Amino acid sequence: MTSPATDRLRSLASTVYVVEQAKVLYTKASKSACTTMLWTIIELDGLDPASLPFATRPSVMRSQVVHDASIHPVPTIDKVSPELRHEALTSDEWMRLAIIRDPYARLYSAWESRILLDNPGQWQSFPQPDLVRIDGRIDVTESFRTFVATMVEHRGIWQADPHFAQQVHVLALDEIDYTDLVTTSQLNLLFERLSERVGRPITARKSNEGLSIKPEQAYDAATAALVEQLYDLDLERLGFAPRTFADAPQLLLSDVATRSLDMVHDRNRRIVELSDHLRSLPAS
Amino acid sequence: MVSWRRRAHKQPMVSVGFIGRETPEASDRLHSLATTVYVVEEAKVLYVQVFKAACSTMLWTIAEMVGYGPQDHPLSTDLHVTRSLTIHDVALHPVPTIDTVSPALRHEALTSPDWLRVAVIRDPYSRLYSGWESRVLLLHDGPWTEYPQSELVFDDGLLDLGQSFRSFVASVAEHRAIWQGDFHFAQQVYQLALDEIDFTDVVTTSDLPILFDRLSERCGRLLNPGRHNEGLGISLDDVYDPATTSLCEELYDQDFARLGFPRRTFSGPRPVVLDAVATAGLRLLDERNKRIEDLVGEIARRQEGR
Repeated sequence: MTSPATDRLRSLASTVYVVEQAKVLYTKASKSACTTMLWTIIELDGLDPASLPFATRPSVMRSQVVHDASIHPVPTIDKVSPELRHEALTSDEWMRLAIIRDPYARLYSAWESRILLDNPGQWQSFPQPDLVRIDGRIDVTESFRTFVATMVEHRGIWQADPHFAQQVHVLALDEIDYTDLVTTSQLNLLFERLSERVGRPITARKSNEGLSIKPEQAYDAATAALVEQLYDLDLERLGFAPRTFADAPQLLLSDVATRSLDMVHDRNRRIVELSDHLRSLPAS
Repeated sequence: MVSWRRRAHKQPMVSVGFIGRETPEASDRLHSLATTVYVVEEAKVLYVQVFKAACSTMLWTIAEMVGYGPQDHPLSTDLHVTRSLTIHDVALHPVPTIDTVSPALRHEALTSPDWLRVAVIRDPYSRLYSGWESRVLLLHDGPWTEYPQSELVFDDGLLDLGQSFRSFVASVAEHRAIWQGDFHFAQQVYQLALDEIDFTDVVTTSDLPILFDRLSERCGRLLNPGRHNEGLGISLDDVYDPATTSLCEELYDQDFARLGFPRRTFSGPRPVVLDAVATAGLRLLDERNKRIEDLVGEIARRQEGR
């Protein structure tokens, strides 16, 4: 219980979803099961996920179109009435929910999807090193570690992006009285609670966006120490413990894996050009 | 000054096929091909497209012969998964096909001794593997998705690429008429209309540099098309076993008999089970293909005002 909750939210708007039917307020934290949760809140609101209009933004996978806020059927807090906003932020009948993730795993995941897979977005113009290649093959460990070092150097730019920002900031921890801050490892329990809440089974939709590389395969002690600087508030205020990593051996992708990623990059570029064109057409 | 003369050669030797063949009795008798025969009037070159035989590279090359580069190429809204492949959009290609040129130009292209009549061919073992890899493994959509075929083989979640390919070839052999009705899997001799065009140059993919030299000389500019075909770099020795080799030789009997490709013995097969990252990479590739398919479909829908 977080009573008495108050209505003092100022710093967030379009990342705070109001699921009126289930009385759930969900704040999106990028790279913390947010794709799964964005699909889930549609279901929680009694809506059909298949009824989403076509997403024109350059999402690279069908599962990711749910990030297109312009088509998401659940309203964000800036779109609801002042009364509903107030109720959602203050009522003790409401669940105020966010998912949080171990900062080490979250940063690796952000790097993998935004940099290694080269998913399109503003980060492509941020200062960053090239991927490290040895005889054409991508060296994941060295690429990741070099990236984190550069990110520290340009922390102001990188951490202004929600994928790389500290979670305490994207959650507005001092402005929302959360009832539930759930780690990604506790999602099963959360789904049980959500199912109970709406009286029907709610299942997590897995979107499978990763390369099956564990964060432990990328870290060394120096990089872990940099993460502790970059995510100091997440460690301090969300209760994540600093971790010790053995110096992971070099992870050099196979030739086939490297080539498959190069092809992924080519397709991303094709998606961007088609998406740009689509958005230039009048909506029918 | 950069010269287009990269090598001096009078009559270069090619491994299979021929180059610079005299065709004094060339005649205009082409009936079975139309939209795959390109007429580069400025350079007096006729190019016959053979699918899965460096055709993307060749389409960019003949575009370059008329001074057209990637920067000139507009957006294609056809279903192609990379920008490089959009050169296959015939509506955008700067070089006309033989069905759209004047009868006089068509006649000249097919008969004149001043013209090069060119095709690129490929070792059938390599072409069949490449056809499978590019159409079945790396692409999501196309008519071939409806053809009868075996499932991809997974071993504990990892793609067994070698076994998947071998099972596929067995399916193709079983349903040969369906699969070889598709350009990507048809015999090359049929795509070349070998009995209807008097070719001067039929060049294997391994001899492409020789062809580029000849074409550069012909158009007076150094042609540098780069690589436009994507692939996973799998060795044929690793995926062909004797049974699959034999099926390939049956499926492409005319290509072996008439194009001069030697029959080969492979040293494998060896296990080609992709690692977890490569398997995941292919899955993510497929997801992107699906998204491209959706975007292309939506663009078509809006352009048609539906």
